[in-house]
Amino acid sequence: MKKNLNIFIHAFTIELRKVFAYKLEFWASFIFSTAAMVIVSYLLWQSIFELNQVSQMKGYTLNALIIYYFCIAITHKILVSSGMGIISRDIYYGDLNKYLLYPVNYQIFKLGTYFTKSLLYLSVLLISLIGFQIFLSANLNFLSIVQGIILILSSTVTFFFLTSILELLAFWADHIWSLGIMIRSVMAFCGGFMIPLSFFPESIYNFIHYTPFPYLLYYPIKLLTNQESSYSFFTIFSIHLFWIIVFYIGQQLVWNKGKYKYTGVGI
Amino acid sequence: MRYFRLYLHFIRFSFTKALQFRFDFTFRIFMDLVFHTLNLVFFRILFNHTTLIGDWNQSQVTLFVTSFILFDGIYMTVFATNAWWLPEHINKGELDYYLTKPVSPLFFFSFKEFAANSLMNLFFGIAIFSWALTQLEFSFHFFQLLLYILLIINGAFLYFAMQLLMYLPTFWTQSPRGFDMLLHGLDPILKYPISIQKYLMRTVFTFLLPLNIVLSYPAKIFFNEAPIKGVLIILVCTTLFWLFISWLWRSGIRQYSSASS
Repeated sequence: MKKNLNIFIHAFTIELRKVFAYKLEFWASFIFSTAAMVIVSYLLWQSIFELNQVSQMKGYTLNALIIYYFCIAITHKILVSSGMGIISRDIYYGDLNKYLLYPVNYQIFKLGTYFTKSLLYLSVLLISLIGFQIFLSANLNFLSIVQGIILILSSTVTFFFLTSILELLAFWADHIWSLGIMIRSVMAFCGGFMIPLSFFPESIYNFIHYTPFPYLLYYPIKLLTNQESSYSFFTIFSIHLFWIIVFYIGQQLVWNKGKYKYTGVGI
Repeated sequence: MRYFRLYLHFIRFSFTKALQFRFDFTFRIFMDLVFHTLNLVFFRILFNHTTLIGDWNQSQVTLFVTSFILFDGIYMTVFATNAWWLPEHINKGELDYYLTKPVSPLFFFSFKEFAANSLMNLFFGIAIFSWALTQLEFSFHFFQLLLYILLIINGAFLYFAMQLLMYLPTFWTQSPRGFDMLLHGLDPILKYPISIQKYLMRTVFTFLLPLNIVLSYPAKIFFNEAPIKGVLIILVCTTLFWLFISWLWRSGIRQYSSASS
């Protein structure tokens, strides 16, 4: 356990150094993409609120929607922090060789790498929440923030294991990039990244609750921003645990089969 | 003519290459289909709660969204793969390959990779855009359609120029991806109708970083909101933008120090 924790911390530190080697690009792209998403969503909803002459839609005021889009934009970044290729690149280029030779747990090492940017984004989210409380009267409370943060972290672990199943398909498939992007698009849509789920027609709303995605994005944000939610913290956390176990088993199955396919010469 | 023949060779070679990676070939088609379908569903959901977005109605917004599919098909097929590799070519010294051939390096680099798998999505884009045209409440002339095609192709060239603008600083900074995440981050501005933008934003993204010219203005041709004079200005602006990119490219090449620069 202690050894794994050390590996995690080492991987985290190495990745952190890489991020800070190009810190201007990292922060500039983060700020630009988040700001663009929030501004466009604000303009879109402002025009809809003005046209319909309402101050609230589906329980959201315009201010609440800005906070929602801001939080979900950052949470989405936390979940997909490392681009596609974190594992598949090692398989394609033959870099997996060194990890197989080193006395380290490959999965833990990759999890540490994955979490680096996630934790940086999470720190920005926490600071922003203070700003929302002061300037937008966000009605936040300490308990809901703590619960929201725990859920965002467990969402990240869940999504890491889901992504790693797809990445490991690289043992068989020639390119898995498009498959990963497809899952990310579906996750964004079903998780309420484009529009809060309460605006969805009932049939689609009910259907997407059979997938893990609403619990990865939408419900953690609801708790974080202290909005009324149909699921409690413990229910969402239990759902996360369920999916983590399912994806972990899936990942182990794929890894155990795939590693015998690995030639180590790259493509 | 020589360049045209060369381009045909690029296409033939790209098809051969794409068919070697069959899994990726299939999944890239599915990926684009899923991505665009979700985008269409998103706007459909929005119109369950409103009748207008800005001052555009549902059929106008649908035409705009399908224009994006068409644009994306053109851009992904012709330009995207080429643009993507530029920072890596610069940093690893692989640009030598393009500079040593008896052909314009910018042309060679810009058109070498033709994404055969995205071509299928271009066909999908044409089909769904044609459907969206039939949903419009007002009629249009064939001339408007021709102008639109001209402007949407122009939009793809312009977006490629903007993408290069983000990558070319790599000649000086040697950063792994240039500033491409900035443009990528501004994607929502490209994907949402111009009708929601206020004056300042509209000005910035029309004249400074002309994302509005890529998609929204071509769509406006059908709504009789874009006069002919405007079309000429768009074409002149694109030419000026490309002249600037060519100058930046030449300056970058002078800065380039080959392997492991």
